[in-house]
Amino acid sequence: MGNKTAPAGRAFCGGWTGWAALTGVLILSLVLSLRFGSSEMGWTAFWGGLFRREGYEAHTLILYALRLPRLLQGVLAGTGLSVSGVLLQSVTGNDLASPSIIGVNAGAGFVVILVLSCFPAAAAGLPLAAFAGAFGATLLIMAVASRVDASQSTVILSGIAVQALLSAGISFFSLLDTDVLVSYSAFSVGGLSNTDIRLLWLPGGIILAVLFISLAFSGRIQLLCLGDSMALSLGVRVKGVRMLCLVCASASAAAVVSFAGLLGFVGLVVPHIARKLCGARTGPLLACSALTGSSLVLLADLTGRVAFAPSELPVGIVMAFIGAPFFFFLLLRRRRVPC
Amino acid sequence: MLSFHQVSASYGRRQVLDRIDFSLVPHKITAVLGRNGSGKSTLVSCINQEMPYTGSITFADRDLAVMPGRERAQLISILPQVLRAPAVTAEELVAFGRSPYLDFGRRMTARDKEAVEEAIGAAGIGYLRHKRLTELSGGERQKAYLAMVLAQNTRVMVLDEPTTYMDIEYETAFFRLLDALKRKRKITFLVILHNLTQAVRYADRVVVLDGGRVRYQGETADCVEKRVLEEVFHVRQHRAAGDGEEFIFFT
Repeated sequence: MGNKTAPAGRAFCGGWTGWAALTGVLILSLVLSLRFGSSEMGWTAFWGGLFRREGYEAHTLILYALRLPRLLQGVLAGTGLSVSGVLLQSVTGNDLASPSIIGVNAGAGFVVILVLSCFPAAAAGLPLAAFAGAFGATLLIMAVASRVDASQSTVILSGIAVQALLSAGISFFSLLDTDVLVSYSAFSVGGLSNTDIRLLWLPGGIILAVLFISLAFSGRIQLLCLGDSMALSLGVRVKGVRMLCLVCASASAAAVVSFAGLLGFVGLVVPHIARKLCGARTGPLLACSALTGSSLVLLADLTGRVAFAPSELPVGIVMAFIGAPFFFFLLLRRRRVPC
Repeated sequence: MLSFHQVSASYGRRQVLDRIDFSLVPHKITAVLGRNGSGKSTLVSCINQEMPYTGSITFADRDLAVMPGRERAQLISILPQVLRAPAVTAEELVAFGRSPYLDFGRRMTARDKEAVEEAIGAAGIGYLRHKRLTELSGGERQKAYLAMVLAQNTRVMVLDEPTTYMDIEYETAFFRLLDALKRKRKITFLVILHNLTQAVRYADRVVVLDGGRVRYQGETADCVEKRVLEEVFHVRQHRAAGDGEEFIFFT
């Protein structure tokens, strides 16, 4: 009974080399995202523009006014949605959970189409409306779930009910006015075309705050994978931790929706990739997901920009092309509950 | 010690526990027996403060309902009947047992690491320590969880049908381990069992639940003498002798 065996399946991020490699991929993605785009730019012009050298003013303008905001959006969207996905998969015990399960997409979509229908001139307020809708839908789901028992299945079931209701509302408004439907479809696909960097401060702050709060509580979140009974017997305030995770997941995803629209599949796919890379411990998983998610969104956006240049494919569509096959792969290989 | 005072609980209109009154005797193994639906697992849920109940459950005259969760977890460990298989290693699982003692940063001290090693050694799962729970059999998983609650280092351990997936060899070793912990570490056990032969062989005391009420509580020998289990479970009690030992079994 006493002999030891070798560690099973050492994770890629088990040592510092794995983390260095992930950081390296992110840095490479950042450089490539800045370097390539619809405007041709050589390496000399790129470095000249990046370091604001004389004679490269046009390149500086392209890099700082157009590509840098896009790059920041990519990093924030990847981090926000991935962290949201990890939290949701942890609290629901469901490896197919993503921000849409807590009504983020349906809530944001409903409020956006409502604003487009009733106040067509208020397009500038759409980011705020999207955030309010996404967060409001989650609060509604949590209110319903907490009145029952705040268990994993109650959260999922009340999420399905609220989503159905809001989707019906979206369909209703889109039938009333086809012009609204055109505007709404751009939002629903998701993209990183916003160039006003000032609009990123608030969502950026929320996303980073959620990342730090999640890392601080990762030890308690981890214990939820043992089930409510076991976590409770270990002194965890199960309902409180679950509600904290839901609020954080919702705030993070809603913040992303406010500037990137309904960017699908990141919150679903990235936690699974990260789990393969760093294992199931919640702390490293959150950090790994943030790095991987940022790289993935940046590379998807880059693909969308260069594949059909000078036309551009929204990052949401590229992510769907990657995410949907991966989703099928998950369904076919679904064997274990995540932690 | 852990005491139940007029504890009643119900699922909707169906009353599962009806004015339960009993106390655990320190440093003894108390087995809770009862037919399916008699409220055995509900009793565990009430101790874990998972479901609402009336009456009170106290530990050293302190009501568990108002005790902070961490403090309760330092006094009473609970091994539920249904155990999940998260993708963590057995060693990581055992370390979870130290959660009630960790600070906000959740750093393990030398004492915590020592407790984890002791628990792994006591449960005999050294050979499983680097295996993920998803790779373990039901019995091995039960052993890993047992090590986890041992690492929790509490004065009372509540085990809900802990030997369900264990083979006969480990089952015997398991009860020997409980006996040793009872004597050496002065742990008090409340064990929910469905196997009557096991209960009368290893438990010092028994509490028999019938229809949500305590039908009998007392020494195991007295329970056997009064043939209480025959009445409650509609079985026949037999005695057999061998190798200088007397065995009680039921048919």
